[in-house]
Amino acid sequence: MEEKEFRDWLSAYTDADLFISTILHQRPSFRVNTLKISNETFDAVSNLECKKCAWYADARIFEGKAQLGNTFEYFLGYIHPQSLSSMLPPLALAPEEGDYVLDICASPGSKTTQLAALMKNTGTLIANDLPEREIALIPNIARLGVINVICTNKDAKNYPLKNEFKKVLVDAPCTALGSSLNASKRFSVEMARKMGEIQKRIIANAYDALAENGVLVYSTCTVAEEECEGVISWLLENRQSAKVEEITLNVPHERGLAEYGSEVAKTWRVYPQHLGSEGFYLARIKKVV
Amino acid sequence: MEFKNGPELRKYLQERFELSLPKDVQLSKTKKHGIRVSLKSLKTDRVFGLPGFMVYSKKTGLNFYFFQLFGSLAKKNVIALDEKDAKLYASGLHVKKKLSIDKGLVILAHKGHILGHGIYDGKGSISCPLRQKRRREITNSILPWPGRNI
Repeated sequence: MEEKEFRDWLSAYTDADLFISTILHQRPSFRVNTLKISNETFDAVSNLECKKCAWYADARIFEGKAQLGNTFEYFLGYIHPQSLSSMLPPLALAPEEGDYVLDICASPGSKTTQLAALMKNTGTLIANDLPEREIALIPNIARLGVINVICTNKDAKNYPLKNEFKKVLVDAPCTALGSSLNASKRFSVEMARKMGEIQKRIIANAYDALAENGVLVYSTCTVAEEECEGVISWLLENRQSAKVEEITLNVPHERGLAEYGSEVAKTWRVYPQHLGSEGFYLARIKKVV
Repeated sequence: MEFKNGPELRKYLQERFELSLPKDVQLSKTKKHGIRVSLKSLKTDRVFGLPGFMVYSKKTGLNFYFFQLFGSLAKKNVIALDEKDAKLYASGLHVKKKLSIDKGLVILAHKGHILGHGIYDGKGSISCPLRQKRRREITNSILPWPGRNI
């Protein structure tokens, strides 16, 4: 889409000028990797100029000028550069110690390694992605010291296990309009529709992999309703046991688009201007049997 | 230095570093992906994949991330580097340091932070096994790990 056309399209959802200017001036952030260092020790050893995040103890907003990749903290695996909003899906899933969790589209592993940290390197975390995407995932798993993981290479659209996992994260491939303005140049509504069809296949398989009373979190870094509320609405129509749950994090957001009904309205739209970070969509679904 | 399986590597770690891995951690050999470190209690009955991350393969040798994770458990052959040498190591360069130990692997630390491992040649030089992609030109400093005297 041309810039003007994109602004007009985006205005149907939110303040397009604010959305675009925030994406252009995103604040760098990182997550303290508590698998290697506690927050308390990190604060005692690190001189990085950063601000703590009110809603997540492991998150920091970086205010310095150094390249994070060229710091002792990065080299030692104490930090992982990650946008604030991309830390939300693992928090919404809220895995606990000993849980059995599937991350069905795991690469490059920011959320996978965050899930492992939330699980305190216990239980079993399945990090699944296609073989050609795994190249970005594996170094992050090693650098951040994740040992409660099994890496698998199944196609998420045909995931073979059924009724298996207590928790599933679906951070689906998407048009990425919340991440970068370059994505808007490639974007068309037709592209969002096609992506939505792929996402429906992935979420259906991921949902079927959930055990009874299991919880699934679906996320994308886009705003196109065909990839967000449209996918959740389709899942609710096609899986009677699927119920949307409220996300209880104390984070600024807007509710899902009202025209999809009150259930889907429980989902979250986090626009760039909410956190000074990427735009994200989040839904928490329970398999109620 | 070659390791055929997990127990062999475990024995070496014990002998060279007096390093005992935690009881719930396993080193397991895979057909194509070397020896891997993972949690012993992983649920593997219905999932077929690669556990944890690779610690050793014939092609790439030992993985320095493994030492970053468990190096603080070592009781000997842990060498403290000053900031200048720690940065040299991270950038992939050799560190000049005369040590009164046999040649072979050493664990390198800086202000109590475990950097990884190096290979001491017995003559005053520690080489860095880091692959090109993993090397870093570190530009900052770090404060000592409280209570860790390495």
